[in-house]
Amino acid sequence: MVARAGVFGATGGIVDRTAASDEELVARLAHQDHKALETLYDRYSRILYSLGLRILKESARAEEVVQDVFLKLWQKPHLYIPENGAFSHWLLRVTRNQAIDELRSKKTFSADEMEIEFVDQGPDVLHEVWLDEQRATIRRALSQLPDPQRQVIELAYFQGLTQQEIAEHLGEPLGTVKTRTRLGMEKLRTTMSVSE
Amino acid sequence: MIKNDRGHNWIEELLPAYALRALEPEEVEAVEDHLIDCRACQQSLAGFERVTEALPLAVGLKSPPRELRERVLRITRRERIATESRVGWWASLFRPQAAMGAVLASVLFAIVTFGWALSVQGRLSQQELTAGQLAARVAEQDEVLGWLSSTEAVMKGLQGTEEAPRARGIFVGYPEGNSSLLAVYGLPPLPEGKTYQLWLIRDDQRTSGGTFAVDPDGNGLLLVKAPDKMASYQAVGITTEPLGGSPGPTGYRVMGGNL
Repeated sequence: MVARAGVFGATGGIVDRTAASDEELVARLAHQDHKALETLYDRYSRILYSLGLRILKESARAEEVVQDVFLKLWQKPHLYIPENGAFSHWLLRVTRNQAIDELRSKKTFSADEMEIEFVDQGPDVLHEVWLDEQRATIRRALSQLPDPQRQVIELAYFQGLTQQEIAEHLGEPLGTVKTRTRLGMEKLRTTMSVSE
Repeated sequence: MIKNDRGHNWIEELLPAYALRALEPEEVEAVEDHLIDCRACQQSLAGFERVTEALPLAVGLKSPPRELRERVLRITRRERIATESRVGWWASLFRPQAAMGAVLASVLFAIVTFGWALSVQGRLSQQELTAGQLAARVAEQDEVLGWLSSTEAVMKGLQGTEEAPRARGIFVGYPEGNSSLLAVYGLPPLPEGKTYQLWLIRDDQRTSGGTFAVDPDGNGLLLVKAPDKMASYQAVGITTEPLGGSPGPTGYRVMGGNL
């Protein structure tokens, strides 16, 4: 896995251009290097907050999730194992899981929250070519999916619902939901692999 | 329970939803059983996992408030200072050549830094302290500070047993007084419903010196209030007991030492 640095634009548009890779910074966290944490915060807070906001729909709760994730990272940097994949993916996965736990603990969702929304609410400042391309690819691929397929994928990923729960929520047969999920994911996989 | 005998094709159809974490538990189990031996499904899943990894990148970007950055960095910075203080304090306590004065100063530092009711006894949060409890807490601190600062305070080392071989402890007290301070390090965290209990030993009789918990690093502090002068006790021991403590030792002995 190639170590990458400077992934996302920082809060307020400050862009991290330090040479240290994510993996190097995480290793420094084990030695209580606070500067390393600052750098990681500046790289990732925007996408993590955006993901939390997308899932929870409330800024205060999204802030809580981001705060918890960075606090955990500070306390237990060893939980990230470089051999298992890129730090950015791990951190996004941790954030998603934390937000879904938060969502499941406190709320029931409403129809409004199911709207599919991929419109940026701020300037798009991704400064790392590889992830920038991946982001463009997944957004394009999702936009090309039929709405019903995109909807079930969204409900699974951003609401943490199982296929059974999605079927109940939409009032559709389980088999229909399974077929939509499979077809949608297969198309996304094909698009992603073609772009690589 | 879903058996894995429905075949490769059935599992293959579940892989996209598996990558999305959208399967029911029994389906997850079936997929994971199948994946152990099926190279084709492992490769197929890897492609779906790449999609799942990319999905969070599709969200609309929005910057968090500036205050969040300040808050996160403030909290983590504060935690670092607390950790460094704690480590420094314990290191000085357990350094063999540490002078008594330095140890006592460390204990004083611990009391001031961590607060009596908060970390010594671990039962009350600051918000829960009533005026009466607060007054008692201050009086307790005054008493301990009084005898700790006297030149007659005595320090004894405690050793972990086979149940906790890496644990160490220190017992600091004024022989003619009824209170002492117990500090331990390296005790294993206990399961829910259990506590550590200190026993003051005299002529094979055990008197409870109080119960205490330890933090995730195994550190714990206890202000010991004995019914008699500390000089009248010959040894101390620590056992694991049900939460709330026991009238007499019932659990494993994890630490002990002569006074």
